[in-house]
Amino acid sequence: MSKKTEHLRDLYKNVKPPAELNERVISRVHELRARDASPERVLSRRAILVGAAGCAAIAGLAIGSALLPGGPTAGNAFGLAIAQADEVQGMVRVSAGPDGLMPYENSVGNTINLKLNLSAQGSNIETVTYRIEGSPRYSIEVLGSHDPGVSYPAVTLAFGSGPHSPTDSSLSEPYFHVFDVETITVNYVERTGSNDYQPDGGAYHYVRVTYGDLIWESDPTLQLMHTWLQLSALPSDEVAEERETARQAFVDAYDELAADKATFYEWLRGVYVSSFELAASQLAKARLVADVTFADGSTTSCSYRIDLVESHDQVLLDRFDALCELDDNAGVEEARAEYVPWVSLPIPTDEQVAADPRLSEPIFTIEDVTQS
Amino acid sequence: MQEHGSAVLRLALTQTGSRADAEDVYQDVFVSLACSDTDFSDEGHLHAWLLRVTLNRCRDLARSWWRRHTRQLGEQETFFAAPEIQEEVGPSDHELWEAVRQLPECYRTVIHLRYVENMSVEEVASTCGISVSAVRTRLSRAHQKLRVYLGGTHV
Repeated sequence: MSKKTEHLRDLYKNVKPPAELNERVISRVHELRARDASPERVLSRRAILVGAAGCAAIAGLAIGSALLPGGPTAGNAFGLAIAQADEVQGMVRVSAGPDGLMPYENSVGNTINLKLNLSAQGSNIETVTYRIEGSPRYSIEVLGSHDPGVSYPAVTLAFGSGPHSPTDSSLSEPYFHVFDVETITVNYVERTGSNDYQPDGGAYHYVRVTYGDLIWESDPTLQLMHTWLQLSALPSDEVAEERETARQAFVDAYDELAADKATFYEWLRGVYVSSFELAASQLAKARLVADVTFADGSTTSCSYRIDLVESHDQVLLDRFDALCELDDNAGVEEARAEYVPWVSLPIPTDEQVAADPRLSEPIFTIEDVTQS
Repeated sequence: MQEHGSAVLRLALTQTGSRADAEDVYQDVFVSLACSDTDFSDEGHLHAWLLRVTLNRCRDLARSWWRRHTRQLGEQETFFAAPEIQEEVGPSDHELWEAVRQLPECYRTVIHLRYVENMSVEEVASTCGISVSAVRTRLSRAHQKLRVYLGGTHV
């Protein structure tokens, strides 16, 4: 081993996990196990599921055969619903309810996690395996941050666990993480009481949509910020002057927006809407596929397209207003003070969602495109 | 955590470049271990599993737009301060750390596992899920890059 590689190893000789970190891990594990074992917790979650299932059952009746294309044998049928649906002028409209395909987090970033709270409707369904087909790909291009040659699927299924709402967090700090998964299989034979498939124990399944760096192109001020950040990522001082020029251009543009509260608020609203539109543009290229197995062993596959509702812009603007009201614009003010375009919006509790229709207004729809 | 915690934290630190992110990854990894039903055949198997999960979590984190960009907004975090006086010829801790951080992730990983964790080429290959020849190629390219980053004289 050369002197320099020894030097490298020596750099880490004092890197040890502090006792406090280990205590956090142990505390977290205990909390997860307690959550799994707690009958109150399961009961509480079940109560929510029963509510969603009730809506879904109604949806199934309303949908009739339109969303139940039928399995390969006469007695089998399968369709998906997002918590509720109704019939308008002879056409079936399936819409997201307070939970299905609604975002878990409300902060603007480049990823949106939509709760995959779909309900399988039909008869003799044994298992449903969900997967994503035809996802577009994106790559990370920040120098020094990641291998620029690696690309990732923009639309994936994901599994997330952690506190679902501020009231769930009993730890010293919020904790939530999401992992991509290839497939999600729901075994309806083993399930009782609900055709909603969300797992228990403080976990959710998601459709996770990443729109990469597209967000920067959606707004002139964001473009300026992106230019500056890209130059900041370069290690060399050769671009110092260019970087400072870019930083100043961004700061000037930002200051102009932030000088007036109403202007700044409108700008953030626009960025919020853009983030969903970008997510929808990625979703439009992919399909959610449900591979269904029936009790008699026969199988079928259905393909679904997820898209924004027709009046999505107003829905999202209203939702943004409602979320900001929940914390009295604290997230907006924080963004303004920190010179960032992404606002951390609160995660509403179930009670808050129930009390404000703007928080439960469907954002996405799901459409069976198996035949097309 | 007593046996393997330091290795997990070191790798997370190299991959994320941030103490806070590394501790998040550390927490995730050991919570995942507690929730895992994997039947580990021996300590080596467990060690490799932990490092592989650490790498995966770090990659997941690298995909997080918010973390990457908020980190860039402030001063770049560093763990090894630049010395005021260069006492000897060769890179300082700070320079070496910065050079390793500049490496693309795939090169940084093999350098870390090989020289910081002192793993054999075969062990690195197993942990990364790549061939031994790929490890050797990456090590060679990583050395070349480090030479460039460090002014052509070191490593």
